[in-house]
Amino acid sequence: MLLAGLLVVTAAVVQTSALAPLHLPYGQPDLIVVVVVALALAAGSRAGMWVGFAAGLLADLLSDHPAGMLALVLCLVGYTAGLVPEAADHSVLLPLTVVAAATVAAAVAFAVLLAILGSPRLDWRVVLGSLPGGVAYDVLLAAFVVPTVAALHRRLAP
Amino acid sequence: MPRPTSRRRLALVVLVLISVTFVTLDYRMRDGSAFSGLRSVAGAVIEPMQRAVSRALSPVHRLIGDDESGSQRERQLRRDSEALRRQLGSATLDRAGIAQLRGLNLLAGAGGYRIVPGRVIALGPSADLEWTATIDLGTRDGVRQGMTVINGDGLVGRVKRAADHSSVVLLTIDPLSAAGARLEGSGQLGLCSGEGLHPLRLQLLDPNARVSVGDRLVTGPYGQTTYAAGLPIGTVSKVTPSSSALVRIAQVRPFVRFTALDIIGVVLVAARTDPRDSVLPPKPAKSK
Repeated sequence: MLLAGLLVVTAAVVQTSALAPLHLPYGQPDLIVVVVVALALAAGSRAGMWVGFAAGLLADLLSDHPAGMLALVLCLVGYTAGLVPEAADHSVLLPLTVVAAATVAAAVAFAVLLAILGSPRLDWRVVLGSLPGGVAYDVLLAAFVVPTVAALHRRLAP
Repeated sequence: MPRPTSRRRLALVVLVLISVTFVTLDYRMRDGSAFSGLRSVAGAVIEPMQRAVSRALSPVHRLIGDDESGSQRERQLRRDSEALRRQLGSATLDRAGIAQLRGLNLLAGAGGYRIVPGRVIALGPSADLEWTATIDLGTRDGVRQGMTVINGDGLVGRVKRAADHSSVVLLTIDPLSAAGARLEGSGQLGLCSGEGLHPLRLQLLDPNARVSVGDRLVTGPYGQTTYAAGLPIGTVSKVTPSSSALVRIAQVRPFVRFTALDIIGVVLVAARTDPRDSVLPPKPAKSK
């Protein structure tokens, strides 16, 4: 619980103050999605959906769109990622695949919600155009974040 | 692995319903601010950390003794920058920071705007679609909702929400942003709206207005929200032949580099008289 809170807040700070201002080409890394998936893989679907909801709501409150959009998206992402069998513990490829899938799902789901609300901000060219970079950066981040979160989880919440 | 129990599925459904309720509430009461309290709490909790991280990442060096003495004007500028720097609260600024601060100071001086200087400490988490920035100035510094935000190059955006020590700025390139604009010289009025990293979209009121590539724009009196007048916006980069004769559309390349925002100023008091075109930098001499 404490671990999850600390990780979520850290992810939000690093995302907004360190990663976003880099304006990397071909898309943006999304550390919040990576952390939610990492916690879901370590602690299961119940923890995943709560952490996803909390992290999403925090990101919503720091954003300019209606609150609840990212909470909805990341809650579902966390739940689904938590359903991945524990075989993931012994595999390297599986967690990275889950992160890649979660990145795509989160970006597309957020865009669909924007479309439902009729937001002028929705630009599918940007959404789809930033998927390749987004996936690549997130997988790269996951290579460090997933093992770290798993280790922290084992140590603090056995 | 344990199969998800029905209780867990129920919890998921409840969370989804709560999220959807939140979205509906917040969307319906867009300015009734269903979540403004929560937003400022979240901002206040996270802002000191954002400030620390962004400070640490833009390594800053104390400016030890400035070299040559320079002209009268330069000395004046340096004194002004010094004052702004003290206000900025960080005694340490690297050369790039000093240059940005001088630019900001020059622009504010040219237009007669009273500004308070600050820094961008974070960007919105949904970058690429939403163009907002968090600055380290809030109501304690005199910042209020709706105030104009600038840097040394020109118009940056408008304060969307102001908390005690930080504010969220809607950048000019956000698709929800629309700034009243005026063409240099002819004084034709229009509306400049954001298109993300694509050029701004200028819509001129008068369909027969003459506009050509290279024309420059400043903020004007037109638009739903008023910006301080006379601030440089950008240069017309392309004129689209209008299919419908109702409006004239052009693309505008902004003066401000939105991917490298750092030192900004919030205009506390706009110029007493509209500075018209006087804030624009001197027109580059036509070569060739």
